[in-house]
Amino acid sequence: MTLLDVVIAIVKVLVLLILAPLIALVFTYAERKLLGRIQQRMGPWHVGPMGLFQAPADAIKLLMKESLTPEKAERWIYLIAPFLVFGPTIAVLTGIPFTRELVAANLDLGLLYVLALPAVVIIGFVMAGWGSGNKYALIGTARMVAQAISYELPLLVSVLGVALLANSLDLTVIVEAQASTVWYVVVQPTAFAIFIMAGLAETSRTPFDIAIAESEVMGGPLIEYSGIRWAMFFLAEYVNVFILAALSTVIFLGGWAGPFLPPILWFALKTGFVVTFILWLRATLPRLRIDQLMALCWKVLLPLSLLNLVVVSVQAVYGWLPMIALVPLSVVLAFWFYRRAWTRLVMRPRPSAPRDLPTPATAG
Amino acid sequence: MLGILKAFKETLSSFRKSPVTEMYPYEPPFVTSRTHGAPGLLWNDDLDMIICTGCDACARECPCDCIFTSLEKYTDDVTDQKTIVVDFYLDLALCCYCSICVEVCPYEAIEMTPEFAYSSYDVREMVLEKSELVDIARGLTRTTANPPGAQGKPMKKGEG
Amino acid sequence: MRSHPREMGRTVTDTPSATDLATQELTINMGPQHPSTHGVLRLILTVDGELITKAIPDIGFLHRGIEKICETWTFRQIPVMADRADYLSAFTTEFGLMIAAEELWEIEVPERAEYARVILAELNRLASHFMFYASFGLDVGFTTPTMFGWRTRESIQDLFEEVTGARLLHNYLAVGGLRLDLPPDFKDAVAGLLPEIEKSIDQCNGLITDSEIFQARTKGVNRLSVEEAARLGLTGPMLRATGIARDLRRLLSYSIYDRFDFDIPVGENGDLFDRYKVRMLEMEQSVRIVRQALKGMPDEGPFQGKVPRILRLPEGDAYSRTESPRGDLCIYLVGSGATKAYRVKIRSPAFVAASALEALLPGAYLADAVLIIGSTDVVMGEVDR
Repeated sequence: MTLLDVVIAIVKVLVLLILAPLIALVFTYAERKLLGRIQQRMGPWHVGPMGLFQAPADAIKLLMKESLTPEKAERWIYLIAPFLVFGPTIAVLTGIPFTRELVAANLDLGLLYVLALPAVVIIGFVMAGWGSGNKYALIGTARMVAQAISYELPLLVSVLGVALLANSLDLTVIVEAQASTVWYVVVQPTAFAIFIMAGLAETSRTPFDIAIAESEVMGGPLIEYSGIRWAMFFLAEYVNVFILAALSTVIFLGGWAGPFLPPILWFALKTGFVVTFILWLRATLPRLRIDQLMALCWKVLLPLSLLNLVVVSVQAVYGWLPMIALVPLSVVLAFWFYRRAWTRLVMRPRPSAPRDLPTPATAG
Repeated sequence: MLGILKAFKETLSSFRKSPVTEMYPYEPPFVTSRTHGAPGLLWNDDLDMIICTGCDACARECPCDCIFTSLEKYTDDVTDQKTIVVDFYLDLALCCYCSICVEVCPYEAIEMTPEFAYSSYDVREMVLEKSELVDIARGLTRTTANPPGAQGKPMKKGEG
Repeated sequence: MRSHPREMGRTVTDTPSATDLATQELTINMGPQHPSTHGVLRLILTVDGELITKAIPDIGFLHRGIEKICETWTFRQIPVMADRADYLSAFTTEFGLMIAAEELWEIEVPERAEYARVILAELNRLASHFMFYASFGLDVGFTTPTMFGWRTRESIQDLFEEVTGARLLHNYLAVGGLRLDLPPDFKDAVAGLLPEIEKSIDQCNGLITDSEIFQARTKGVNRLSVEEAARLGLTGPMLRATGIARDLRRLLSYSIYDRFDFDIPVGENGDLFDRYKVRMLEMEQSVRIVRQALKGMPDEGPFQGKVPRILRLPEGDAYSRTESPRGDLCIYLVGSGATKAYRVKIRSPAFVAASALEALLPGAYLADAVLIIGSTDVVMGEVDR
């Protein structure tokens, strides 16, 4: 490795470090504007033309604010936690190919890298939740850990099918393979749906935002954070949304490939589409309960993704002919899911325990 | 699934509608002629004098004790009233905008105005005196008649 | 490095091994600043993981001594304070107070005023239920219902402002009728508002009622049987959700409610979904009542009956029972010949609902606790008074 390579690598990381806040700024603005319009409000409009400067203004406000450390906090754990959440998130960005050339680190195991690294983030959240010395943070963290670790499985298994189809774990190769055949969302719709759902759960976005649910645990691990440390969590969240959208673009929607327009624009368009969908979900869906969330993961998504993997394997070995049997199977599965799976497995109504009731006043 | 799709349809249709936000500081807000803003003292333009006689009825009935009045003997002969108000202080920080003072005033001298934008960094500035209250209600006439139950002695107007 | 504050003072007698790794119950303090305790309700929850084992509601953070203040004020001033008890549906409290007062004074209320009262009370019920919808949607996890609910509530409040001058705390009803006559275009304004309300109810239903995730969160959760509800003293939508069609508007037909044709929606299981659904259906019935009232309301006529000039409460007492959006709202008024009431007692449904939380919450998940509080639709102003 020459000195030039090192310099180039540093420049790439610096560019990504600048890109991350930009992504967060654009996404917060888009989210607030979109949510506002869906709720027939204006969204931000006061600061700058059409409220464009609202997000930078908020960012400056957060930087200027005092970063409080609660007295009950485990001081160092509390202070380090945001970096452990923010760092890996930026590191994941390096593995994402925006176009064929525009990639910070083109890894042979890129798929594994970008999906495995976010697991480190959980440690940061555990530290944040434990270090805050707050009971709500603790509960939120417990939820976060359970949720994030469980959803790693369907997330990984769902993209394994794609890896089998493309015969590679290299993200650029996956995109090339799609450019030569067809977008994998067409042949792997189940995997795409599972990927989006598991990804949303990983990043704690609605409808799976139980870990930071502000109406229940008031922000969970982030409850005590303020100022720049909170901003880092915030940044990580939005970069994670971007990563989810970018990954689904790369893995399922053909990446930068597309006619007429330059590749980077195709990438931006597709990512923007997915991001809009994710933001729209936030305006439309309530959140699940923790036990329902886990049931959805272990009883529905994981078996489905494994089944998907089996089907892809069968196709890889025996060709397309056995796939004909898939049509009635998927119909039956869809019917079963609609009639039974949701109500039996996910809804999980609990019989209420016998209540300790006051004795009725005797008449007369 | 169908229910979730229905929800998506609903959000999409509300996305297409225009916002209902009131652009308050830039556009005047929704107020009606009956809006309970600050109470103001009415001015009799015909006689060019204040209507209030300082009878203290409003101060006695005020639930939050936000009115203080004092009166002196009325010496002019424009009307046949016996007294006229000297001091009339109204503490808007205490006022609960219930409009009972309007209801009990026998001379129809006080009226709720739609004026609502008054705030200050000093709570003492919220105590309005007579001239300020007159300014608030300047150009306003009584829009609502006294209900029969609370009808007091009607004001006698001079020829002016 | 200093030791953790929770570790300080704990004597380490034995190190836990893997076999006796016991879990510990956690006492968490929910409220009074928690965003979904509907104001300033405080709950001392004991949780085992996510399950609540014990709940103690702690009220009184919004206590203003309304009942005592009502004893020190003249009767003309009392509605000002009564408004502030249930600030989300001020008309219902005023309505109940006036019914009690009119019983005491034996005053006939003119036709027009009766109709106006019913219309305003029903509109206020709508506004209050929209508010319930808004906060319930927020509790269940997203903000769009909040805005949908508030938007229409805002239109209703604009109408109130046109009529009474105030948006929330109206002080508009008086003994024997209304304090002021209705504005001349009152009927048109209300009739113009009704289609908007109906459309909004449809929209609100479309957004969450059929949503599978919403149903997963609410159906079969925290079921309540009729006996349990009765023993907890619950009334209103909480009781009707268990399947009893008990509505004081029908049961007592106070004011002129016997002239209207409306249904009493009931639930089946008394679970969260039923409590929500009953309120949504009730809104449609309120629109129906307002429609009929608009048709029957005379255009001309007095708006106040024959009322003594100085309101001296006669000796005696009166008890009014009305159906507020939250249940039985009963007001006990005792007069002693003075201008001030000897005693004003408000039996508020939300107070009973808040006390029922102690029995409702144990066994539920922490996430459901928020929904259960939301489903009781407590207004802390009314609970603490």
